[in-house]
Amino acid sequence: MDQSLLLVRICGELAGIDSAIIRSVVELEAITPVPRAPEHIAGLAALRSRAMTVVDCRRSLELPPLEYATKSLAVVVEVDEFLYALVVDEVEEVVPLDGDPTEVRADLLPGWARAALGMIETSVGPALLLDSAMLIQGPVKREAA
Amino acid sequence: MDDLLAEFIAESRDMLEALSGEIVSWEADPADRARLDAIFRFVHTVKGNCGFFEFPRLEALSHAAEDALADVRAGRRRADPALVTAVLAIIDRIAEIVEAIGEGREQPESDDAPLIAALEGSAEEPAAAPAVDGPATARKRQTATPRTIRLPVELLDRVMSGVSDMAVARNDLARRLAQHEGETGLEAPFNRLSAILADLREAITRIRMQRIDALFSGFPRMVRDLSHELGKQVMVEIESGDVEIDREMIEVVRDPLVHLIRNAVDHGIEAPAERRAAGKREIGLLQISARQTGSEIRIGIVDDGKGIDGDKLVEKAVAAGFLTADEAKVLSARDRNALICEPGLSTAKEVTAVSGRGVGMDVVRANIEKIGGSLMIDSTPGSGTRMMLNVPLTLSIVPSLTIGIGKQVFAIPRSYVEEIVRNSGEEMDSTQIGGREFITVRGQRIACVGLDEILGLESTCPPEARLYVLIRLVGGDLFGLAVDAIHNHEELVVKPIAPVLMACGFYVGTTQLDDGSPVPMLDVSGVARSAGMIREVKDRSLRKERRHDRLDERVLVPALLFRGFDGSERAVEMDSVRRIEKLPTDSLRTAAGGGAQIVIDGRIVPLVGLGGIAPESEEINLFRVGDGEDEMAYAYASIVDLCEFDPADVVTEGRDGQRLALIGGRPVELFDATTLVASGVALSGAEI
Repeated sequence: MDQSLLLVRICGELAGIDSAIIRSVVELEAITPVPRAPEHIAGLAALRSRAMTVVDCRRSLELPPLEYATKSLAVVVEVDEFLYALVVDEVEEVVPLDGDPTEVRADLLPGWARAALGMIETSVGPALLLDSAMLIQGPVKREAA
Repeated sequence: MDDLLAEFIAESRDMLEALSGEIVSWEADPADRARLDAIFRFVHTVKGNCGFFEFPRLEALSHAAEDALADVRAGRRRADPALVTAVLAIIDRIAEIVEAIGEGREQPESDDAPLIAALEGSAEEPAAAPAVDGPATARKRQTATPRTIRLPVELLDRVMSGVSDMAVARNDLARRLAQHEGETGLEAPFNRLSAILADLREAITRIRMQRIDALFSGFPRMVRDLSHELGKQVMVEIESGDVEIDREMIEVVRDPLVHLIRNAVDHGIEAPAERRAAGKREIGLLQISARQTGSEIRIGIVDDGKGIDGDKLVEKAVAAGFLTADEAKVLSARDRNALICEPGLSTAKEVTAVSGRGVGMDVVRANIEKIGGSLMIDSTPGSGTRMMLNVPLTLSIVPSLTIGIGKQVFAIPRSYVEEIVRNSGEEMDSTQIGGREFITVRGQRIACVGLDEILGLESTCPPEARLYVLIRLVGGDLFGLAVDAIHNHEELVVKPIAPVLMACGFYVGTTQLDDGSPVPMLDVSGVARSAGMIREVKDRSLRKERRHDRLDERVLVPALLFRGFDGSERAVEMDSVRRIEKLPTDSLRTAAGGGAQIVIDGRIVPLVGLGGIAPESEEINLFRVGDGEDEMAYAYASIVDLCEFDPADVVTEGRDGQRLALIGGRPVELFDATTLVASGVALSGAEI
C-alpha cells in the first residue's frame, strides 16, 4: 500500500506524520485546560461531538515553547480510538513515502530522539518521521533523585 | 469466502454463548431431551460448516462429540457425568479454536486425541435401560428466533457519534437563532428538527442496549467448573428480570461480578460435609439476579453459605490500624461488612487458587466506584451473604453536577453528592485545624479541601462565598469539596478520556456542554485520595462526646496523630509544628544510609521519618519543626487524627526517655520536637 506523510514544521524543523492515522487538520480555537495533566498536554478541545486531547508537540519534544500565538494549528490523529490534536508550528504538504526510514546516525536532542522513528528523504528535503504515540506520551517523568 | 468464514465464526460464537447455560442444565438432568438436542445441534452445525472450510481439527472434534451424543439420543448410551465432562471439554476446545480463527491467530497447539478418547472411554460403561423414546419421536423444537441482523460494532459507533454531532450542531443553531431579534420563521422547523433528533437519540441509546442475559449466560458454567474444582455442590439460579444493559457496561461489570461469584463459591458456600453438619442442604444455592430501578441496575449475588464474620473483620481491621476499637463499636453491620473491601483485610483462612488469583475486593470496589456504582454487602453469619451491586444504567449518560473554579468547569457524577452547603449563615461553621479546613454541618465535623488546591488552580471567589459539595464516597467516607460555583445539574454524555490524562488519576472521562466545549469529569475517589481524604475522614461523633465528658479544668494539649512510614502511630504536639505540607517527591533526596533531605522554599532541609524507604507517590506529606538552622522536616504516611492529650498522663519510658501520651485510650509515642531537631541534625551532619 502507498504510504504518505504529512510534513509539518516544529521549531523550524521538518517532520513527517503518517497520514494513515490523520483525521483532519484544524485550527484550535478554545482549549479547555486540564489541571494536573502532564506538561505537554495543553488540554481538551472539541472536534464536533468528540473530545480531543491537545498535545503541544514542542513541549513533548522538550523544545522551547512557541512565542505567543493567537491560534494553534493542529494535526488531528486517531490512536487507539482516541483523538489527539498535535499542535505544530506549520503544516507543509503531503508527500509520498518511498522506502523505509533510515536510522539517524547522530545524537539527536533527547526529545527528538525519543519520538523519531527515523529519517526520510522527501522532495522538500530530509525530515524526521515522528511516532505519534511517543509524542502523546511525552517526556518520561524523571525519577525522583 | 471471507464473508462466509466471518458468518461461521459469528454463528459459532453466538451458539457457544447460548449453550453454556444449557450444558449445565443438561448435566443436572441428563434426561432433559430439549437440552441434549440443543447441544447436539451445535456440534452438528460445527461439523457441517467444517465441510466448507479446511478445519480438520474442528471436524474431528465435532464429529466425535456428535457420535457420542447421537448414541445418547438413540438411547444406546446414558449421559453420565464422565460423558458430560468429556463433551464440555470438547466444546471448550472448539471455542478456543473458533476464537483463534476469528482473530486470525494460529490455532492453539494442543492434542485433541485425549479429549476424543475421553468420550470413548466412558462409552465402555454398559448402557442403562433402553430409553423409552427413540429418535423417531424426537419432536422438532420450534425455536422462534426474532428477526435480527448482525451489524459491525464500528458502524453502530459511527451512527451514534453522528447523532451526537447532530445534537451539538443543533445546540449551536439554537444559540444563533436566539441571537436574532423577532420572528425568523425558522422556529417551527427548528422545533420539529429538535423533536426528531430527541427521538433518534433515544432510539440510538436503545440500540446500545443488550439483555443482561448475555452477561449472565456464562455464569452457570463458571460456577459448575469452580464447584467441581473445590469439591462443592452449588446450584445456580439466574433471574435476569428482562433487564437491558449498555453493551459497554457489560464489559465493565463482568470482571467485578466474576470476582464476587468466585468469592461466593470459594469462601461463602461450604463443603457438603460442613453444610450437613450445620443442618443445611448439601447443595449450596447461589442466586444471581438483576433488577432495574430508575436510572440504576441492581445486580444481586446471594449465597446461602457461611456468611461474613463481621467480628473477625473488625478485629483484623483494628489490629491493622484501619480504625480504633472505639470507632469499631459504632459501625453499622453494613459498614463492618464493607471492611472486607479494605486492602489486606480478608477473613479467608487461606488463599486458595480460586479467589487468590486476579483482583482483590478492594479492586472490585474501586472498579465499581469508577463507573459511578456502589457495592453493598449484607451478611448473616451462618446463613449467607448478599452482595448488591448498583451500577448506572448506561456508561455514557451520567447524571452530573457541573462545578467551577475560576473560569474552569468540571463535572462530577451526581451519585457521589450528598449535599451542598454554603459557607454562610447558621447552616455550617468553618474552622482551620492543622492547615486543613473543617466544617461543621448539623453537629458533624467534616474535613474539607478546596478543589483549587488539589488541582493547583486559582480560586477567584472570596472564602465566605464558596460552596461546599459534600461527597459521600462509596466506602461511606464523607468529605467536603470547596468550589467557587455550582453551574448546573445535567445529564451528560461521558466519553473515555485519553490514557495520558487518565494516568494523572484525577479524571475518569470527558463530556461536552451544550455549547460543545469539552469538560473533564473528575475522578472523585482520585481527588479524595490525593487530598488524603479516604479513611482519614470518619465520623468522629464518638470522640466528640468523650471530649464533652472531659470538660474539667485540665488544660489539654492539642496534637497531631499521624502514621509514620514504618506503620506505627505517633503524635506530635501542635505547638511545635510550624507547618504541615505536601511536597513533590522530585525535591527529595534519599541516601543509602537512611538520611534524606528535601528542598523547601529553595533551602535544603533535613528530612527524617522515611526510614530509608523511597516513597513511591508523587508527593510526600511532611511537617516542619524548629526554624532557621534547626529546621527539620518529618515525613509521615498519613494523618490519623487531630487530637488532644492530657499532659498529666504522659509517662517517660525506657532508656532513651521516650514519652508516651494517652490518646484515645491507648499509649502513643510522643515526639519531642527538640530532640528530633537535635538528632536529625546530628544524623545529617554525620552523613555529610
